[in-house]
Amino acid sequence: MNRRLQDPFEDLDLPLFIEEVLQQGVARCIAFNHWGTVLAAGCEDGSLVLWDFETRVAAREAAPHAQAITCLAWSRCGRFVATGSRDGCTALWDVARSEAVYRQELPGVPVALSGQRQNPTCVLASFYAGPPQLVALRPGGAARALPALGPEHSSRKAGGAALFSRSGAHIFLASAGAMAVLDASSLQVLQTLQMPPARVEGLALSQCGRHLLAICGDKAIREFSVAERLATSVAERLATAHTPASRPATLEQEGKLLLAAAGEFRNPVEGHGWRAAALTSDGEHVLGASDVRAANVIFAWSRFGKRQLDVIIEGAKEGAAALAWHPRRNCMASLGDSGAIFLWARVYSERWSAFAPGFSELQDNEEYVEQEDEFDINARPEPEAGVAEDEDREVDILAEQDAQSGSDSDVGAVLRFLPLVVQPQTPPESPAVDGGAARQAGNAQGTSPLPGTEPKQDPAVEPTREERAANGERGTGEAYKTSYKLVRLAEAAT
Amino acid sequence: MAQPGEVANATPPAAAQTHEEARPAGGETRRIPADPHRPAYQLKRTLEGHTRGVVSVKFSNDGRRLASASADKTARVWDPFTGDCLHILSGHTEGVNDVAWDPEDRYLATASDDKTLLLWAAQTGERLRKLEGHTNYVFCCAFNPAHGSLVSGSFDETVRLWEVKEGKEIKHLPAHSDPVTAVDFNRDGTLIVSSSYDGLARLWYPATGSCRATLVDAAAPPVAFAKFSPNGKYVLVATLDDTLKLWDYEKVKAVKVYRGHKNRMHCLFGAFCVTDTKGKWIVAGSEDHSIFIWGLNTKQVVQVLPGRPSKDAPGEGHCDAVLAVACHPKETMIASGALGADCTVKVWVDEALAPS
Repeated sequence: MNRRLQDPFEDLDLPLFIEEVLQQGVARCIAFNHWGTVLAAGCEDGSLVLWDFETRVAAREAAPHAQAITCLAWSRCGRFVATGSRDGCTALWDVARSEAVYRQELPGVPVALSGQRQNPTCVLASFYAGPPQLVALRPGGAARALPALGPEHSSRKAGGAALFSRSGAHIFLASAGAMAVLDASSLQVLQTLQMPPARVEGLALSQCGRHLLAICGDKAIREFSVAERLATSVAERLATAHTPASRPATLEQEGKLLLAAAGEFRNPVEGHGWRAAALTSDGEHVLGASDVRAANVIFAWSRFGKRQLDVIIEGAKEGAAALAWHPRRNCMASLGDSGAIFLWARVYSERWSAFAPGFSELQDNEEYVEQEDEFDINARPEPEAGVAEDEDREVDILAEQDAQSGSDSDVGAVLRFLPLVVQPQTPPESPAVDGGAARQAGNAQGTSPLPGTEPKQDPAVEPTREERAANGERGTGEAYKTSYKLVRLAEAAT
Repeated sequence: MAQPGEVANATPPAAAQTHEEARPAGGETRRIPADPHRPAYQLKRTLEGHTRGVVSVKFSNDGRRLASASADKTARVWDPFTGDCLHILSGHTEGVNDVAWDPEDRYLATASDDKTLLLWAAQTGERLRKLEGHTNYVFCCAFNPAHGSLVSGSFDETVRLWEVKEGKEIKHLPAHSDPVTAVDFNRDGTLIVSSSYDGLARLWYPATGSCRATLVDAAAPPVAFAKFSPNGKYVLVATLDDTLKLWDYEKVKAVKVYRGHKNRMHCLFGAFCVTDTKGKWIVAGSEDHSIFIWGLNTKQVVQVLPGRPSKDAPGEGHCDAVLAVACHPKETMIASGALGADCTVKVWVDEALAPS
């Protein structure tokens, strides 16, 4: 059942080792933005740290709350982060301007937030107890409670989990015993599925929007497949005109299901439960973080075939409280109980054939077959390498083919990358030019960076090395470079 | 060592010849060229100030400023529309080899023979960071257009990736077996190209540091320059056998070859000009003091901006080998910089109207 046991040499494209540990503050929740360029982490002290994923540094730090941040959600455009805190508030944080845009009181401490695709001010907050709320994070906005799924559950005040569909037009609502699809504007229940009467700890949606995971209290992760129309973006949805009132009837008439149970994942051996779940960006694997607190055990199941366990990812010495799969790359982030963020990468193998053209990597030895004329005295005509025969074909150096899926057209201006902000460094190195230049005896450069000032150049005190570099082509390195080139030519000639 | 005498001696016939070629395309008289499908760049202004050769010029991404790097240990920031020198970035202890703008035009990075890179605030000219780690001359640098990272290539044969905010090195690629002459990111920062005297241009994934492809010919002349096309699909590679090639790196195949200029000794820059309604051009300097412009698809030389054999000679072109060229991101403007006998940055503008 464990694929790694079956074939130890098979290359599993799952991240298996910890590449880096990010630690700044005690993180309590993590989320990637839509492109995976920024990883947001909400901390115990109420601060929000935005990590640049490429360079692995804390690019921005902010303190939207005074108490621990319990959950956060990116807006699809990447410009806002909605944060929920133990202080019972949710705030909308403007990433570009580093300020809180709006703050809204909630009836409890939110445990999960979900942002809508087009409207960054519209978030869904889930609570430990009580129904999830649809919150409008703008002046005059209000919180609307989602309807209870059946009278028998509402009396128990059980918490539920809610999530926007990928298109933002629907809401998935799960509570003990039921899973429902709601229309996001009217909050009308469009479809209800029965589930075992266990508490739903959380929901997770795949990148493509077609697969939904529910972490259930009965030690199972249940997978649901989502109808295509809930996953398509608003532009496509608007193309097919409809009225919200007529939709439930139409769906029933068509007999189309919006949501269907697809399977469940358990650990039949130890039988432990799950704290977090995620889908890989290609949708091929389901990941579950076990609730074993002493060690970070992440199970990875294949979504295809018999839904068997592929591999158990182990490594960290602490339990994983949250999982976040990178939306574009084959790597993931897990959040340890200590507040450290672990970045997992797959075992990387070098492609040696890329280092020289014409080489290919062999898996086994191959017998070399000598060509008949291989050692002939008359050399064969060398094929003209490099230049293609179809050299007159037009090339297009402007057209951009975006390999990344998903259009950003309906979400307004996007903030895909955090602009670089570099603060001047404090001592030991005294700031800027003056200090730098003063340390250099005999440096005759003008030290004033004032606009328009001409540098006072005194050739008499210039280092002799500079003199030697004749014309100083591309710096003094040119002296070496030119002679170097001549050596190479000489070598080539002999 | 450079041999200025030899270059100068070799120059007059070559320059005269190219001058003849260039005359019908615009030369001295300011008129619409005979062929409306050719560019007609003319000298707009000369930016004087550097006291040694200018080895790199780069327009800012918004096109409002121009940075130049020089062997006189400074980099300068100019206004290309007025010719004013806005800042002089001095702090390197050796000549500056390359300069790069950050994607938001707020910072500048300079690579120098003093084995360091410096980061500057572009608005104030203040020095912000010193990136140390290379063990030999740092020859080239480029900002990641997507993230706050910087890539640099050096004579120590490595390519290094830097995190600029903290000023730390994040990756170290043992990329080549000879000095690295150029590095560039593609437009979304997912690939790096590096070129070297070892005759190779290599593509790298910055995320893992793994090699994606190697671009090399059978002859493998030293590679002086490599740059991604604006859409990141092709790589322009200059080799020290008077050749520029456009490679399709997915097929690992050269699709265009541009010849006619002289490039045997120095690491000359090449540039894509895509702002002209008359066509798309490849622009490169030449060691015969002129600047060559080719049609991207036709591979024909469409204009030569002629140089002069010496400073006293008549004309308005450069009077030493033109190492640096850059094309304006929006206007039909070319900036160029030449070596020690010239020391100037020249701005060329095509004001002739496109055929309607």
